[in-house]
Amino acid sequence: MDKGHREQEEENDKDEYGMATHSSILYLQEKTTVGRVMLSVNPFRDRICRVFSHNNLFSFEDVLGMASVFSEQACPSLKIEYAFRIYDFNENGFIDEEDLQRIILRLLNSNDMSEDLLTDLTSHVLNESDLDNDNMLSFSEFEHAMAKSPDFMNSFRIHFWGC
Amino acid sequence: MSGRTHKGTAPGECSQRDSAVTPMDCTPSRGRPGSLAENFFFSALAGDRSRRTPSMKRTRPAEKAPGRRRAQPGQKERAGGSPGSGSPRRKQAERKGRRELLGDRERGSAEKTCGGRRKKDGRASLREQRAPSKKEKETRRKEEMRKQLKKHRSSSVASSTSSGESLSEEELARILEQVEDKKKLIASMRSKPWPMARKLAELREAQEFVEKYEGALGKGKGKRLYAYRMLMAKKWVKFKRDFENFKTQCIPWEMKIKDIESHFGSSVASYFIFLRWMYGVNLVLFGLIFGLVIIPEVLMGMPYGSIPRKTVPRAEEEKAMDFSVLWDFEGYIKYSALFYGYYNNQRTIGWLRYRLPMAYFMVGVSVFGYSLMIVIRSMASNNQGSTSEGESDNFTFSFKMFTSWDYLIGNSDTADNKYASITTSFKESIVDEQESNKEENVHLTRFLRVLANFLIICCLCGSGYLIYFVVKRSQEFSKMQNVSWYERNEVEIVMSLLGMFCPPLFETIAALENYHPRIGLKWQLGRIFALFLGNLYTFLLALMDDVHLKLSNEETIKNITHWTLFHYYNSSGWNESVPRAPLHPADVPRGSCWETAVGIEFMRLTVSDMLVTYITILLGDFLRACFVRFMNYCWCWDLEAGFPSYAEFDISGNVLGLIFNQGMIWMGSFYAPGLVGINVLRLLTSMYFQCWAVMSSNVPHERVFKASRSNNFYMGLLLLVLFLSLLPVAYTIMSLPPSFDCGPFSGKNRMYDVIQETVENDFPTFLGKIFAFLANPGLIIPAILLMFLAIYYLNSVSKSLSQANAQLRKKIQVLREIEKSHKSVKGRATPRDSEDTDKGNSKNGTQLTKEGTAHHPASQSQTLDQKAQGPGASSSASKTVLPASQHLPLSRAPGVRPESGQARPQVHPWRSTSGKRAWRPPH
Repeated sequence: MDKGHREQEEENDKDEYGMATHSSILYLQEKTTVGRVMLSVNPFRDRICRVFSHNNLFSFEDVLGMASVFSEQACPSLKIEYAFRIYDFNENGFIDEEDLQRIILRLLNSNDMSEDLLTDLTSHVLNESDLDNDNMLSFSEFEHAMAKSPDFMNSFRIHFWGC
Repeated sequence: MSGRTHKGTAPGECSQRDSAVTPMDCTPSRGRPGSLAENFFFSALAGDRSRRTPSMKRTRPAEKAPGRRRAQPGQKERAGGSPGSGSPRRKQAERKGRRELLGDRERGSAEKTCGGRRKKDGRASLREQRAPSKKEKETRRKEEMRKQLKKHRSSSVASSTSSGESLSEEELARILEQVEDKKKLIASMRSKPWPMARKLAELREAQEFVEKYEGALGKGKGKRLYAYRMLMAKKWVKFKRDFENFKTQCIPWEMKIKDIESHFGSSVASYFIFLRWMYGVNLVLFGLIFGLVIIPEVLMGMPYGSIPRKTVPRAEEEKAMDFSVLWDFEGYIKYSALFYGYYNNQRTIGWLRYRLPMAYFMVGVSVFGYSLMIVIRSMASNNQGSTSEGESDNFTFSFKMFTSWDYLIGNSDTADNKYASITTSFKESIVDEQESNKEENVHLTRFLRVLANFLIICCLCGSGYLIYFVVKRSQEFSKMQNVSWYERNEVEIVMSLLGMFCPPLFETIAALENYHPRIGLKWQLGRIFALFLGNLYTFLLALMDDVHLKLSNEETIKNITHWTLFHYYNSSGWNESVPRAPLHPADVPRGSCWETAVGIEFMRLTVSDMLVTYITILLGDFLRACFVRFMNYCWCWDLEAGFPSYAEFDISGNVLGLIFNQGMIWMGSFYAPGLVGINVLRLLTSMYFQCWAVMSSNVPHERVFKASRSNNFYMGLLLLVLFLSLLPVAYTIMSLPPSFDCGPFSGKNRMYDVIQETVENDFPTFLGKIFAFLANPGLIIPAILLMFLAIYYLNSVSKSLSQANAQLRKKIQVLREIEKSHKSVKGRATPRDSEDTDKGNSKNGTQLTKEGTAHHPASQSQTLDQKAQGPGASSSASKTVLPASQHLPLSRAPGVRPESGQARPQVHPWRSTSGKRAWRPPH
């Protein structure tokens, strides 16, 4: 069955350049694995696609890399690394206030958050995890916090190909 | 099949899989996604081939190695233009034409993406530079250096190996080191945050290198031995991988559970994982009991009808095959190997001289032993993951922020619920933070809580009394002749109904208390637990009364039996020439075997519990869902959103039900060996049935809670229930005399006498003496005392350790505070208004660091470029690179930031130098 999936993927997924386009992978996943690939409702789906694709194109290796990062057996440091990249919206190498606010907005799935709550939350997070007080989380600070989380390894998983 | 993909997705696995691919099979598969997959599939084949032709393997890479890097574009062209390297490809024919047509365009696109990829790689390498451990960084750097060294020497090394000259010691040592490094790289490839394509390329390179030089290190005999060892190691790795895959495939219901996981999140799936675990445990218990007790008895024991305890009594005979009788586990089922009473007290059975009573006893003990062991082991393994439990309260908001989204969720309804729950949890935590203890009307809440607890205690007592009353009444009924179906099954019905209606009642009462939902859930669980436990124990007490009654009657029945037999044989005593046929076993009067009676009670309870569960699911969930779904078209309000709506999957209730069911199994299995078989069937059916019911008629939880936290909680409950179910069984074994005419221990004073008997008769005398000595209270009491002392000592050690831990944590906290205050003082010192110092400070900080960091990606990508082409470049260029790669990791150490003004001038020269080089970084 996995072979079937792979071949199917190859056929569906490739345009003439042998690359999947950004939109086609979402389409493909919904089509081939009906509801199993969880990107369709993930609030960070565009970030995931951005982090794992090259030039918004997915080669087979990119899909493979994505699957390996989200698999159960991937080691925590790898998962944390990619989580950091996903949460780093403006890609400046740090999770700063802007990133945090965008994360909150996406987690709550609404745009009419009160400004107070947003700033409150971000300041709390920064207060906890920002060790050097520069108002942004560097990777090591992020890792420091996430390595202690009991739920991180459980929640940062996606089932691909239904297995 | 699923296992394979699964494994295949993990980077480590795929690296292993690829390890069998020889260099010549590894056509670079850039821009051609198909070839990688095909490589995967044909790797085994290729591996075999490579092993058969070692000479080729050794020579080919040696020729290729020096020019490999430069040859890559050419290879790519070949791969793009025509299907390369002759491995069988299925779709080759149909693709060939297309590919040839598109050959040019493809190459174009590859070049086009190349630029983008480099940018991305710059990004990747940025993170890579700040990769978690310093050690890794160092090894990376070393490796870069070594690559350059290698570049200089590799050609000479290759030529020297191919010509068979002996290498100098120094070179040998260096190669050895390199090989070790490469091996390390291969091992740690899995945790490298690189794009997959680059991982594969690096992996292949490293493997090629290792393969090429490893053989060269040994000489003469050693070489061959070494090759052999490598071959075996490879085979072993392959075997291990296959075995792992096989094991993954053997996990039952993986797909079903993952399906549920993706619909409902990980919490609902945790119930099913628990159910599966329970099924595994029961399967082992089933194997123990069936393999060591039931099957030997059926094969070798005396057949049915040979002795009174194995025969249906005359009075019951005509009804013994009726379904209604069988349904109550009376009739033929009662006199079968499923129950205690059927077993004979012969010391040995069959030609194997199998000691059945001994086996029966030992199996009964080992059922508990195994269960205890497995529960504690799984608790310990659950604990191992969460060692830093104490520190997690420092990061509540960060955890909420970064881990509250369950990436597994793939269902939009679940996602909506998740959004809602995240919103509430954010708001809650902020409110908690702001006003942790704000009580409005303390007296009213207190009064309501006391009232609620009072009501619930009333409910518990009432349910306990009801069960006691019903069990007593059922003993009355059992003496009467023709009782109705309801009267026979009253106990089970009442118990099931209580289990069904009390939890919702508790929930209603708990609404009075106005607790925080999380605390409320705990109370609710505790109350349901108390209810189940109370019911179970009242049931047991009532049963115990019954047992004592039966035991007191036993003496008279024993006399009657003796009398009957004595009479029967003596009345024919005068005609001694013709010995009278022995009395038919069905006619022998016999006692009420209390062990079997207890076993039957548990059997009935289990079956009725199962039926009630299924019927509840069918009516409460499925029919409700059907009603809501189809009547919604013609109803005055919205059924789906309004009052009845769909049922939620009640995780805690289901888990508690499962745990108590298991408790009954543990208690009953000593008196009804067949009970475990029934339970295995029950778990099997409920797995399929509940999976179906959840997927078809339940909606995701509103109150989503995390699975990982509660896992050990359930295990703790299971352990408690196991202990509680051990007590009555141990009591009956140790202090009640077994029935005189049924079961494997009949005729003995106590059940455990069977051990003494075996020790005396079958073991040599000195062993018997040792056992007697060991069982001496004078030895046991000191042993127990010693254990207590050990527990006390370990406890005090752990206390002091945790104290030290807490102190260290405090120290860290204080240091952090100091550092922060120091920083903020510094921030205030900047020329800003003192009004909004904090905001100004933060903004200033961000700006500074943004400027400081803005150059990082650029410079990183430059360094990567240089590193990549380092081997080819002049040594001076590489020298400029190295300090840069050293500098950056240092610069990101917390607290030390590069000043933007300082960093900039450093950046630009590199940019200018590397801008000239349009080398493409190898991924």
